[in-house]
Amino acid sequence: MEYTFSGELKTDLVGFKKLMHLYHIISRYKGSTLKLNFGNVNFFDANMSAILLAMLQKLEMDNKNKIVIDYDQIDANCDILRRNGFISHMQKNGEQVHDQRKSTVPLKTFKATQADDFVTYIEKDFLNHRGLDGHLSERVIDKIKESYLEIFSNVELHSETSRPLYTCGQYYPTKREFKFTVVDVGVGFLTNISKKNKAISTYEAAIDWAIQGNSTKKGKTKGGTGLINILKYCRASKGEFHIISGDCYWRFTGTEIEKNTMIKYFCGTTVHLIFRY
Amino acid sequence: MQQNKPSISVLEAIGTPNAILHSFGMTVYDSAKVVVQENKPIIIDFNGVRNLTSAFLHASVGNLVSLNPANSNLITITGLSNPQWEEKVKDAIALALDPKKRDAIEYEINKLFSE
Repeated sequence: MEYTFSGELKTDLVGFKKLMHLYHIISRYKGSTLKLNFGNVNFFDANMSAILLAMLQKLEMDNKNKIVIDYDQIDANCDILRRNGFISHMQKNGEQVHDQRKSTVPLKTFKATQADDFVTYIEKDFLNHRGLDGHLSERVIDKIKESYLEIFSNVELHSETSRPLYTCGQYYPTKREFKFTVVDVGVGFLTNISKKNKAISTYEAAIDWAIQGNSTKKGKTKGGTGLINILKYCRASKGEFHIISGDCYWRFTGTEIEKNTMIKYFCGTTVHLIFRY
Repeated sequence: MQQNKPSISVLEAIGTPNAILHSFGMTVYDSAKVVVQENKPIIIDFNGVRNLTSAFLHASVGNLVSLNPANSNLITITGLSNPQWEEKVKDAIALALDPKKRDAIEYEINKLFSE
């Protein structure tokens, strides 16, 4: 079986649906060798490779499929996937990548036991990236860091998966944009939230509930998901903030909230943050 | 007198300066809960902690306060290196004492959803 990507893959609803299409097509196969064709790709947001890697590793693990990629096609059409480490993840060779152009935040995976590594990544690879240099105050940096550490904590607590968290980013100097994506392949927002609040029965309602500062943390006190500070920052800076969980694609555009219901699901939760300045 | 209180070093309890996980907070909670249940004073010392999340605070300080709300003043927090963390500790304690409390940020975001 061969699956062909075509056109552009951007950090938006259409881009996510393209990846979900791939996932649902390939998930029909078990114990098969599946070839991904990148020959017709002409644009690929590097941060979206966090979702792609999460999906492919899940398909390899759950369905015992073998994924084959023609890396020459990637080098020809979207070499950013070599520079950000996607290829070394797929080849499982542990090769350390060095993006000479310094336009990517490397694609990494973090298990709950790697809290210190995650902190280092957020501090050095993400928030110290040249794409954000001078654009964020110390206070904003602290708040954003704290938000991602809260997200990491929530994945440990709620995602009900031993699979890692996937992270990646890309900087577009000309467009003055910086995109950063975090993906977990756990149970998503609805499962735990609906247990706590019976009135919440849809992914859309669960995302709304979570982003308002609620949490299902164990114990007698409530906490927060870390999402609220990111939303506040985006509101102040006209940045974008996307949350995808279950069938809901929730997006803060910089000025308003849009929600789209999708026909197909992918497990877990994806969070995109798009800085603009 | 404070110097006579038993003290728990967060850094030593969790073995990292990154107090970010709920499970790390539960480690501190487990270390201190017997003292709190016995109505004895205790110091939770954050010296050396570089990163701190509300998840950690709710699991540790929040849950300890919930154990014995009437005597929450027996828990002393020291060594917070970031002034903003004091607010987070206060929030964790306030939420433990009053789970229905809603802060100004939540109100602001609620307004956004109703616009």
